[in-house]
Amino acid sequence: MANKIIFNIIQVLVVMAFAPLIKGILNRLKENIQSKRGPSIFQPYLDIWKLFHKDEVVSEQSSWIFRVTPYVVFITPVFVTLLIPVLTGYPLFFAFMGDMLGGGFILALGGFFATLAAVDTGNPYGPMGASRTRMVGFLAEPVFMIVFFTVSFVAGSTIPYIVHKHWVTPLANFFEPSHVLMMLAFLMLIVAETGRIPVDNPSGHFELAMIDESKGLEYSGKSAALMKWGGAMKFFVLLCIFLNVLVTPWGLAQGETFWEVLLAIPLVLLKVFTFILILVVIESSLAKLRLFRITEFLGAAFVTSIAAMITRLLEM
Amino acid sequence: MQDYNAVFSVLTKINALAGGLFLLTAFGIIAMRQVLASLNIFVFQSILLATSAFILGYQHSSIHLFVVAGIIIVIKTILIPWLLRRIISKEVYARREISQVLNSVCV
Repeated sequence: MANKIIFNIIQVLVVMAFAPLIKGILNRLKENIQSKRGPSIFQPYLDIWKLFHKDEVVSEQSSWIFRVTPYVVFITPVFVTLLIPVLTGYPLFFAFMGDMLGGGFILALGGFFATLAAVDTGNPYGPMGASRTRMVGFLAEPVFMIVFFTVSFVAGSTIPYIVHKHWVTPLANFFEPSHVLMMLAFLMLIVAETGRIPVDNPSGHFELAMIDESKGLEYSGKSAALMKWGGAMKFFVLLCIFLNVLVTPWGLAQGETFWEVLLAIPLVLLKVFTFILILVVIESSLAKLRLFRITEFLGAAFVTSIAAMITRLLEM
Repeated sequence: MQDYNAVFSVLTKINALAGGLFLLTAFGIIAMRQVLASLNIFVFQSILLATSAFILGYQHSSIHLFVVAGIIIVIKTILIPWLLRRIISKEVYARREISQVLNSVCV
């Protein structure tokens, strides 16, 4: 029992420690593909360190929501980490506190508070970005739902630790049409949720074109650091859900000894790195969509997830 | 026998997967706006169809299905796209101004 609590805490620490690194590697690779040298892969750590040592400016016109939001944005991915398999293939102490839908709602809570905070200050760009994020959000929501329903329907459970075993026992299950289609749908969903290129440009500095980035424009100092760190952790958590629950449980620790759990850290990071390579290729070979064509993109994701569910139902 | 069964079930799953992706590419052809992309998806779809026929031919040891797969490959993935590419005007090809280059110096 004590072991399981410790492993759970190790999972949280791993997510907190390595999320900025993943972001840094992603940025570096993107610049490299564009024939530039790019920032160091440790740049996000340096940014966060720098921001923690800076003074913070908060508008007098803003309410408590603006002050609370960075903590909410920071803590929600931590809560989700307690529920999902990051390092171990067997359920840990907090695993049965909530299922995948619960995790989805906790993540959505962070997004909700970030939206409120963007509207709160009265900065003209904040509400604009916030309303666009909501647009992407409500288009992405049904895809989330259908994917989770398909998964739980296939595995007979909504607890992620139970679901992920189903796909490789036996190995033939991996090639199930509903599985592959669902992976495609969730990949499109990750791209939309984390503001990656066909939907949004994360490295853009032009306020009028921003979707996801403009929510954090008003923050400075510690709050900005927390928002940045929280965003990186949300990205990492979504990748973990995708790679460890929906794609494969390969590389996760199966035994209950310490060194096995520690060995799982590099293996999971390797898996994430491989996925990031694919993501970078996707991002570099596509152009950003116009705002009103995002509906088409997420419509395609929705159709894919529906096709996954239908093929599953027809198989029965 | 065990091995044979495992291979058989994997093949069945891959066959079903080809069916699922076939459905998806059908949606893709409708949704695509570019002519060439649409044509490429069509080729991909035909390859899926041929794969499905090939797997079924292997599972049922039927020479007829191999012939079907061969005909699909020749006609749907080579002949029809080639004809269509000849028919569509030069304009479709001319508009692409940026090409992708991967630099290996900085990496």
